[in-house]
Amino acid sequence: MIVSLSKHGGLAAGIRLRQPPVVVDAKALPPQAARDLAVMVDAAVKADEPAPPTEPHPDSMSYTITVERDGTTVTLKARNSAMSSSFRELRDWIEGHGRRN
Amino acid sequence: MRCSCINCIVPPHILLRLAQSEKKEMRQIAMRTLLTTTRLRGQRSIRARLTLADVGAAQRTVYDCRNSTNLSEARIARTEDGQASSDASVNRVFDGLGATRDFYKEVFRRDSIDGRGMRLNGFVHYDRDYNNAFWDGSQMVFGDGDGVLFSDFTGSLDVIGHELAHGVTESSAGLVYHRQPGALNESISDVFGSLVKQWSLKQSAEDADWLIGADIFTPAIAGDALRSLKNPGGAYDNDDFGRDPQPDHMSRYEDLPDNEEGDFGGVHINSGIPNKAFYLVATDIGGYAWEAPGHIWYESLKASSPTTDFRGFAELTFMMADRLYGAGSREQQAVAAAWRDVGVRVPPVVVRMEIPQRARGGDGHAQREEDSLAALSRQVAALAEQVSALSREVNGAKSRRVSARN
Repeated sequence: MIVSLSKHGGLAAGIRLRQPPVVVDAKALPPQAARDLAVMVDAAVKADEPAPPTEPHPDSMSYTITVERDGTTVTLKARNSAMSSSFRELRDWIEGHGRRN
Repeated sequence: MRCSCINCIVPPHILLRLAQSEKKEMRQIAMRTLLTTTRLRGQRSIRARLTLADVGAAQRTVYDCRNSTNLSEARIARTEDGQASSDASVNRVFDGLGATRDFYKEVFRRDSIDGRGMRLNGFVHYDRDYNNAFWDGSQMVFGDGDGVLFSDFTGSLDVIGHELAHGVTESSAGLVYHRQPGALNESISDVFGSLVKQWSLKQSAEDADWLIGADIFTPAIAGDALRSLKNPGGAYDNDDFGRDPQPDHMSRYEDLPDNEEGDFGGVHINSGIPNKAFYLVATDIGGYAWEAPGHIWYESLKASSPTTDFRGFAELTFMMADRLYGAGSREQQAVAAAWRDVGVRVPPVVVRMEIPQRARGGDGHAQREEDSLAALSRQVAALAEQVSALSREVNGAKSRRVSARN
């Protein structure tokens, strides 16, 4: 399983626009960390609800988490103003464990 | 004098019936009255709520999010009459909001964000390692930074001024946050954010640094700031961030997708073009940039619409320079030269007057009448929706106030 996190927008949007995503490859993780990641991914996927289209607030940020697993790709999106706790937990975990290529 | 409006005492359901009348005059009068009453009803309803919720002589309240993203859970950390906090971020936002409020009041005679003394709410310590500050539609929110790339976003007065200016734009021109109007929205925030700092330091255009966010990079990051109005594209160039992508001329305008991934058409990228135009006007005129250049930009903002683009705004600044300082004045020449230098042509301004079409009878007239009624119907619906949206916002503000008290 490969999980990646991209950040968009915000006051520093110009910097984020060209930054590659932060990526975590479960195969490179210790077994317990890989299991933790799988649990967090499942929770975030379960909690995912498409947000209703709304006009963006100036300088607000949004996030895209992409999960490649068993030949399928799942994309999760969230904005700061509407983010599930599961998404937030997964976002922070990827940020802490991943790296930019 | 002939009255063309049914008295507002007529109940709305009867007005709606009359709007479908077979008599064209009756239809027109009913639609006009519906439009007027919707406006008045909206104003009464919103004003009544504002009295309780938002009118507060621009009083400041700073909240501590304690690393949560849920603003309703934030705790009050400092109020207008309260003592200074032991938290430096709280005090910086409190002082920054005060400086920005005083700037608008003294320079533009504007009473807070909405011109009617709206309360100024700032939230600090939002989320964890949050590298951002934003305007959420009614208040300003600041992150602490991750300590690696960015430090506390309350550290730069121009950032605080930038966020508050988004509120001013929202309550005046209402520039949409997409493509050129969105880039103009961002530029207005950079311009007025920088002016707040210059005014606070009593700096002339020549002495100012013209930077946005000069104090939010950590010492480990090589770069001047997030953006430079003086030198768009030259604010930073390092391994962590790459090179500042802002253009300073229309020939380098970045046509990015109008979605989150594309920064809604590059609103933070293409703002470099109007940013540079303002810098050129300010340094050409010389002296304090918040004086003639600031007034020209402020009046142009107030005259803008949600979809004003670069060229439309350039025309407005040219027109406002004429109105404020005279045709052919040094100020107006500086405005024309600046826009020309960034590749935005300012054509001769044509005053457009809307002349109502005279009734001429026949099918064409009937079609125009139908179009006119349809337009009025849309206006009524749009106004009613705006009133509802405003009511929801005001109710939200009231709820937050009650939660804060508890």
